[in-house]
Amino acid sequence: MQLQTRIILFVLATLTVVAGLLTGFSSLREDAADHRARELELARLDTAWQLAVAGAAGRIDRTLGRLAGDPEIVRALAAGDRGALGIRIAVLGLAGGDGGITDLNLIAGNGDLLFSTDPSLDPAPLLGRAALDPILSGRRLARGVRLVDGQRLLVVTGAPLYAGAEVAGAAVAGLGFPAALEALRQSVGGRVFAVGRDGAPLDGAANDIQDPLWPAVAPLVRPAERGIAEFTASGRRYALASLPVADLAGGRVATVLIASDVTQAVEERTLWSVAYIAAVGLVLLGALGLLYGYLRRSFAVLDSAVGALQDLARGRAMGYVELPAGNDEIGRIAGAVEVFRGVMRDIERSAGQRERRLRRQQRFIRRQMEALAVTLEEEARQSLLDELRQIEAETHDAQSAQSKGVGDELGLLALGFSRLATRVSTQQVQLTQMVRDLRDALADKRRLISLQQELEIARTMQLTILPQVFPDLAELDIAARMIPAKEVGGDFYDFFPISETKVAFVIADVSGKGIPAAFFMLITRTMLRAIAESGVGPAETMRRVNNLLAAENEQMMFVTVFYGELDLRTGVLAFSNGGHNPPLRIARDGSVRELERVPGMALAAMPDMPYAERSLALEAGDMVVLFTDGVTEAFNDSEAMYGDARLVEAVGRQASATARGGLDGVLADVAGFTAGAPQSDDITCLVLRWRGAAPDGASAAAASMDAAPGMVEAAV
Amino acid sequence: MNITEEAVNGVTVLRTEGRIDSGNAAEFEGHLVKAVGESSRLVVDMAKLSYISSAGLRSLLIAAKKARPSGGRIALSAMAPHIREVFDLSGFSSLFEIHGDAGAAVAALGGA
Repeated sequence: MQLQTRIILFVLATLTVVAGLLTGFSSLREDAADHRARELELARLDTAWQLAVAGAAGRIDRTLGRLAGDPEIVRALAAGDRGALGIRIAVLGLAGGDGGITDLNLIAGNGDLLFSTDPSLDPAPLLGRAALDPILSGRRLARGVRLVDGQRLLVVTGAPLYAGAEVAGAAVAGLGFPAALEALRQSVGGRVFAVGRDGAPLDGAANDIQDPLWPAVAPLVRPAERGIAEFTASGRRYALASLPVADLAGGRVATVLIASDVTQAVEERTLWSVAYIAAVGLVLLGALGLLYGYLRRSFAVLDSAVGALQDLARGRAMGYVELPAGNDEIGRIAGAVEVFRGVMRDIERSAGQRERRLRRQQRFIRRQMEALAVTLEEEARQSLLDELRQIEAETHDAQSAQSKGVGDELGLLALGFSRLATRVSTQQVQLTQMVRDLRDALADKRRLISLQQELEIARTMQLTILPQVFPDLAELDIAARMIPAKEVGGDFYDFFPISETKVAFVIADVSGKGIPAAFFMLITRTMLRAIAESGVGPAETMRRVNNLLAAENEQMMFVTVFYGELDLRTGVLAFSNGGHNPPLRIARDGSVRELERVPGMALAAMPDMPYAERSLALEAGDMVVLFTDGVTEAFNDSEAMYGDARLVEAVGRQASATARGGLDGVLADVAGFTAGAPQSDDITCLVLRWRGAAPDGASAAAASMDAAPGMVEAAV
Repeated sequence: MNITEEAVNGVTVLRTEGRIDSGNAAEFEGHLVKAVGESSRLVVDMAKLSYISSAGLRSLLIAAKKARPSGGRIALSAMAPHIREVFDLSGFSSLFEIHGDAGAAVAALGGA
């Protein structure tokens, strides 16, 4: 409910209550005035009634005066002469005459009733003894109304009659009640009724019944009450006054009712009441109307101010509505709202400018971020550009809610910027780390290159110490080759003279790879040469070398060695084997056989090991193939091993080949099998072909072997 | 190469599988040395070993040398013929106890 409506309702309620109170109080005051008016009216009517009674008594007094002035009467009374009294009264014509009195009593001084107009034999006196005594004692009687015979009402007056100075007796006269009523009727000018004690109309007022007003009056009769009632009859308003009448002897004997026509007065009063209520109503309505109009006008200003405030609350400071000014509170509120609106407009204007500036700055920042993003690595750049695009999209979505959009965009931009910063710093850290790593890697690479160069040198050395060329001997055709694996390996072969008639040949395989293996190989080779040249024979050579190698072998390296000595004069081959693959011997007919297996541990594995020695005589044309497990254990891409069987077969095909040809044939077969698969171990092979003992000069040939020109080049 | 280790009746059994060559001999050696350090009785089961190079033999030799001062024993079991041949040729057969299967090797080492 609007404040305006509530105020109006409140004022309406207040006014209603006030009007009700006013009306109620005025009604109470009217009632009081009415009551007073009734009392006054009753008093007036009472007075009129007393006057009427007095008037009737006056007529009786005149008759009593004639009686008192008549000497006959007085004498007869004093004498107690009843007859004379009757005659004199009849002469005077007092009783029932024009004097109008209806009853007359003449009482002797002793109280005896001497004359009565009552024709009965024992007439009742008009007054009782108690009332008569004051009269007989010379005092006049107060007038009054008297009920006679229980049914006739009389106005009665009594007076003493004097004979000289003494009271001779008393005269009491009565006049009919209707005479008093008539007098009252004339004096008050209304309709007069009289009822008895029981409320029934009196005998003497029988004509009242004829009055057309009686049927309306009769129900209202309350004989004992003194008061005024109102009633309506024949379209007229009447006021009915009720006056109880007291008997001379005391007690109520009748009630006089006076009905006055008050139609005009009532109508006037009603008119005034209506006019009063109408006036009050009009004043109320007028006051309400004025209040409503005033409130409407005032609240219209307030409504405008509220509307303007609501517009401001919805963020529409620009919508302009002229607010009426005023000096009251509402006017001042309107003025304050106007000022507030002006401030808001200014704020909005400056906010708009700030927003445009912010957007310019954001565009600038975004461009810079995009430019910066280009320098990032691909993944980070893509992610950052995605974020920027998202920010862009949200900016366009937020066009409607401008200030909010700007704030959000700034937040997103800040987020994007912080991520960019994180990325840049991360990338910076990564770059720094990468640069450091790269520097380390470069240093490592330099070291590696240096190591590789050293390894290369080692390998070159290893290859260099292997005999590259072999003497061109008449008895012996020899060829050897080592195909090193990628890493420096430990295979080696050797061929050297140990005496004028003997040459030694070696094939060996050091366990493991790398520089330690190369060193071990060098040591082994040197020891073998040194000890072999002392001519102790294959088994002893092996035993000594083994002991020397095993003595200081912390690395637990070992080397398998096949060592043979060939007597160039006889073709007898003496050999010992330290854990190496037995060589193959190919006869001229192409049959391939292993050389006899000789017990013997790989060198350096364990000291003080025995080594056996065998010898056999080679036939001219025999070929001996020495090899390392790099040949038989060469793998192809399918993880299949070359194996002994293939080797035997390949060797078998070299029956008529030269040493060089046989070597090439076997290695070609191995290469054909591995078909370029990575080589994991050195492949070493040495091939001898015994041509048969030279008829002469063998020793010379052997002795000159080291210096001999025209050597057969060994494969490298 | 794949090596699994288990304890059978108080004897450590190393089961080797695949190839042992110069490329992984160091790893093999690590297993052996660790096992020898933890237990005085070691069986190297070669039932699933397809190849062992001289580097692998050297690893076994190192383990045997490490075990020797403390009285440890190393037994080999279930060699394939071509592996057995490598051991025979190199003379290593005489350095190690060689049994037909791991159970026999464990029993030979006194496994309960």
